[in-house]
Amino acid sequence: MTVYSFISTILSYVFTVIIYVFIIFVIRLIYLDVKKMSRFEDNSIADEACASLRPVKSKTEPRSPLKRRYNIYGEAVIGRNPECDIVINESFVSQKHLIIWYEGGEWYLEDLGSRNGTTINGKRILNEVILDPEDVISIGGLNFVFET
Amino acid sequence: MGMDRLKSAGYRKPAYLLILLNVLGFGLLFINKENNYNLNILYTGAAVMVLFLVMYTALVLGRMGDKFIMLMVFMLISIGVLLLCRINLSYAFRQIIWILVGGAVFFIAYFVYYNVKIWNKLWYLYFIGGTLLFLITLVFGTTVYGSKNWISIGPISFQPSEITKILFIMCLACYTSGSWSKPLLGKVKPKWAALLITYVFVGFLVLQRDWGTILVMFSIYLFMIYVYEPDKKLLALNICALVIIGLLGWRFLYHIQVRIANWIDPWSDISNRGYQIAQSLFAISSGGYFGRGLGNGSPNYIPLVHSDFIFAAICEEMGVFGGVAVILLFFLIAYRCFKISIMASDPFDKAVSFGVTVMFALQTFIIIGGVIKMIPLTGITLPFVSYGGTSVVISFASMGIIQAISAKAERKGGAQ
Amino acid sequence: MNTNKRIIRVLVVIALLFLALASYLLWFNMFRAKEVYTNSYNRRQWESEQHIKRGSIYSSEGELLAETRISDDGTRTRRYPRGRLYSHVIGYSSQVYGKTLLEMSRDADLVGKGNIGISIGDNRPGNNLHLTVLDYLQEYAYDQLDGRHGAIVAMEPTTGQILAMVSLPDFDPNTIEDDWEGIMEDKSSPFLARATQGLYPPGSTYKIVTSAAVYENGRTTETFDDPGVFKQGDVEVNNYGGEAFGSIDIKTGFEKSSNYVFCSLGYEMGAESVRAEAEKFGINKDLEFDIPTSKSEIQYGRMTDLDAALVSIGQGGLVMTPLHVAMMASAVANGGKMMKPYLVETVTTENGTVIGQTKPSVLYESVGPACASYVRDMMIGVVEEGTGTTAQIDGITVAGKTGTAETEGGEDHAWFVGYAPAENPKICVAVLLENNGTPGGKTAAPIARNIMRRFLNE
Repeated sequence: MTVYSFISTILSYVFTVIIYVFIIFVIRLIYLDVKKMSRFEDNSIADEACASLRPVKSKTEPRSPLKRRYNIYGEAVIGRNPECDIVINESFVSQKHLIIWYEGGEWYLEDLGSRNGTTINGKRILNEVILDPEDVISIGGLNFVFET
Repeated sequence: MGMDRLKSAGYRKPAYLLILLNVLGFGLLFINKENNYNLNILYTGAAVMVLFLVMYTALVLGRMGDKFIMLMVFMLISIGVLLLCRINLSYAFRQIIWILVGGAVFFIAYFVYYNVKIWNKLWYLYFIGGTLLFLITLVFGTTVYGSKNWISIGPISFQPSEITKILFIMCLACYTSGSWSKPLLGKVKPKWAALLITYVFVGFLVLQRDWGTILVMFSIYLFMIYVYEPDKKLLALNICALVIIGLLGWRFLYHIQVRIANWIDPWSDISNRGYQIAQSLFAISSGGYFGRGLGNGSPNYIPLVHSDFIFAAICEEMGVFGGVAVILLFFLIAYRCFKISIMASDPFDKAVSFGVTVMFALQTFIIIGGVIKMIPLTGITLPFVSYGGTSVVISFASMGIIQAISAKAERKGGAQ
Repeated sequence: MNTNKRIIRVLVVIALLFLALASYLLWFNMFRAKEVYTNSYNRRQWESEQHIKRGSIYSSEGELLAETRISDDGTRTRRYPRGRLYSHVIGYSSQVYGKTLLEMSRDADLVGKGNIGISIGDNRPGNNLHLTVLDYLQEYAYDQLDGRHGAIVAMEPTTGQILAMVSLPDFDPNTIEDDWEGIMEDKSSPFLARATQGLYPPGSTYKIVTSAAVYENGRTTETFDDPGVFKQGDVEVNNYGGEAFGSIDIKTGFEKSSNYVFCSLGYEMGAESVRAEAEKFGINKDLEFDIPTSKSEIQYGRMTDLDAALVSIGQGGLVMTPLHVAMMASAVANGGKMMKPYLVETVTTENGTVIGQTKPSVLYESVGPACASYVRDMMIGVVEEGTGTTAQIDGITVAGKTGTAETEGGEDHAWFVGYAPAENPKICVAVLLENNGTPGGKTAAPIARNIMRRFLNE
């Protein structure tokens, strides 16, 4: 048995592990993706999966008055479209602007390809991000504080 | 409260793993004495990784639709190129060129498909194009391994039937999506015209003895009319026709008899006609669960191991678990593609993505099933993994089309 | 939407197809891979041999039968000093065409797999095999067959040791790679080890088993009026040469080999009884041996009593290997106990340490001692005053049975099976001359006699 074939034999186990962990990651991502799309309503949501968005002082004045607080149960799509969980009927908000959801102890936010984009604490986001309490989410000019 | 808090939610992890696999794999092959420490191995690995990073970043940042398919495609490509490097370095070096070309073709296909709006009106062009390709093959084609389905122009050879499959799907999609509803010559309904086109194409393929492609094409047609054609008699009729043609082929065509005989019992004629499939099974049986290790096996005993039989080499050196992982990856890609087809709102897009997905899935099933002797062997390539310019480029092109369709759906559903 | 629903159904179909692929692959690896891997055509098995010196094979007297030589450049050649003589016992070991017979079945021993304390150096020696076969007897039997197609099996009835085993036509394992094409095209199948894998109707030699059934069914006292032909339904069987024996008892029927008597007995005892007796002698059962064997069997799905009449004289759907015919007579010789046949006596390491030894074992308790002695007496009668007088040896009692088996569209097979000395059996010999067209008593019996005499005089 040469040194090479020894290393190669060891690595054959490593490769198998890498490929399967890779597949598990991809399946998890696909699962999250599908879950996000299915947008189910569920009343039996645990307390930690409840959060809210509180409008705060913004540069832009909303055309129609905002609620004092928007509740999120597990998952919410925010946009102008009346089908959204949280409807904000402003011209600078896209039909389906962004989604916030709870998954494995963390809150996630993803922009759904909105025209004017979303910023968190002033930074424009591109990928999914994990939300922390007290983060300031800006949609167009409207600011919200994320509270859990 | 700065950038450091903007954690990525997991899109990068699989990418890191992919890179890790490539670094370890190509590094391992580089230190193999038999390869003479050829630096080109490392360049090949680097090329795979760079192309992956470029394409993946472009898809994620450019919001070009589905992000998972490319991840899995590149896992398959990495496994394929690693095995090719190990089987025959010169194949691997040529393959990497084709993969780079394929990457470019992917984006070209994406943009062309995304921006041209009249695809659904061009059924006759697809038909004429397909027929021309067949005629060219019949006149100028060369016979390779019993099938006359190659054309050589100078140093480059390609398989026109790979392109025809896509044209055929687009042509069927015109009819199934309802965009082509006007009867032909005032009389022939598209339903019958499509049937005729299918049989004409299959007829050409019979002349070329390209049984694998016949199986794929006819199955695409059957699945298409199953999903779209309200007239269920047509489906039943075609299945009957398939059975009858199959039985006739079995009765009268020597080629098909040999294939079936080799499937049932390759051992009795092992030194001759059963040789290839037996060598494939030897390779698979020697791998065990985890494989003998990259570079430790003897995949070169299998004729054609670099193209049709690469799956057997994967099983020998990466084990049955490696083989099952490849099957899983192909299934996940097919699953994503089906989902894109389901989400697509435009009927033509839906039909095209459905057809391409069925083609992709069946091709994979037929060749893997053949190599492991679950079904009779028909020689076709394993998409993204087998060596072969046409196969790689066309696979990338079809994924480009799927990607464009997913991007359309995503943008419509997301922003206005 | 209906379209989407159907697309999902297609997705389910595809998912099932892929699931089938993965399951089949796992199933193959779990249950089939080992068998496929050890196929002699799998060249991977040779890779391990690049670093060892394959073991040698010796006859019972210590004559060298097979060895591997390694030249200075590391090329290995398998050499068979006795040429064709053992082609259907040892087989061949070729890098191109794989391994067969003992070279295949004892491969693990020959390459020294499982030897403790594996040394990583080159040319580590494998283990040696010592056969039960006597080289002088093997050569003598080979000469006796004199190029005629057929097989000879000589074994020790009390242990199951194979003393000689010859099949013709054969081939030269030294030049297998050059001769391969020609051998493959040869219509007479030189690769078929007739003694162990050839299936032939045993003809009248099978009356040995039928008589055992007669004894066990308590029919030994029956007498018959033999008209020379057995007629029942559409079955018509003549005695050899059409001879009518008239009033005759079973013993004389056995000695003269009357088909009428034994067809009638088989017909009267019935299908179940005939089949049950056959199975006591190992027919319809796989035979485990050092090299691959074909299964001797009664090839009827449902056997009628008429079929049983034919089987009782070794015709109809009954086929046996010459090895099995020898075992059948050996069981009678050994007081009813059929011994498990074997070829490999011991396995030794390079320096002579015995690491494996075959112990004789009883394969089937075919019949009781009383039954065996009943059949033995009739077999002695065959040689003393029946069809097998040509098998007589001066001063030694020989027991035997001749056979002349009819074949479909070919010349008759000539058979003889017998053992000696009858009181204290030392050797049992079965001789088959394929499509020889002569009665077994005339051609096969003298060959068996010569072999027994040679062995007993040694």
